[in-house]
Amino acid sequence: MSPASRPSERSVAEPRTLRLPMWNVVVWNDPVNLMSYVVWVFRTLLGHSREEATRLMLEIHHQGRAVVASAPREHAELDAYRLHHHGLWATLEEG
Amino acid sequence: MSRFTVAGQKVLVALEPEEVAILSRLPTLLGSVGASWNDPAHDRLNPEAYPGDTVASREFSRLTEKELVEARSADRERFADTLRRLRERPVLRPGDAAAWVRVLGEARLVLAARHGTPAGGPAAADEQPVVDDLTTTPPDANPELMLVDYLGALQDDLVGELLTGMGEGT
Repeated sequence: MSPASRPSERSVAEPRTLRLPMWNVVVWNDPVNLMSYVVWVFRTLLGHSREEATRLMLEIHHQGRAVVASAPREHAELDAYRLHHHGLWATLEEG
Repeated sequence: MSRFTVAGQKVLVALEPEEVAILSRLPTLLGSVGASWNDPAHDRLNPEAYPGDTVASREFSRLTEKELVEARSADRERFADTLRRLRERPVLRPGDAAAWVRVLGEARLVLAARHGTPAGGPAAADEQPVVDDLTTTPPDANPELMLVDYLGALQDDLVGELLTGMGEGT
């Protein structure tokens, strides 16, 4: 058992929160992928609700693009890779 | 009539022999992507991850390309395997169904890219209004675009059933 710390030592040892830069995963419109398929991908791959997946699909269809996820870079790159595996046009940009 | 029916965790398949014959060509079609240096299908399936940043995009491709090729190859093998067994076992398990959905979608992208259909993506967003779905474009009796439409109908059927299986109709 380690010796009890004095109050002054405890305050010095408080953990710091490290905030990693966030990266946006962007999906772009394309004329081939079906709307229903895109919704299914967002539901199964990114875990979005039906409402959110549908909203994002429509944003892509009407605006040309949508941010579908935000995460630290390594995680965002994994999302982009998985979206590419599903044939979606995904890119990354710093959030 | 839908060719796919969700039954618990599985999907029952009802395809005509002619349809099976058409689908059996897809693995070869997809295996040909990238065989020539200027194949537009290769670019469509492997978009730049960092538009405008060639170095970062190349590094992303270097890190993911091998795994992506293997994942797509595994999808094709699973698709071909279940297709071969359809006569005696017309059922897709969850992993099979996901592979089918991806193969159908990938085939549509490959056929459309080689036909010259605009690819979409960041360049299209800068230069022109949002492109309508290809399914709204007359196929001009082009056999490849008719195949794109047919595969889209199949994919839509299967996705609809999978969404139904998730507790939500389409």
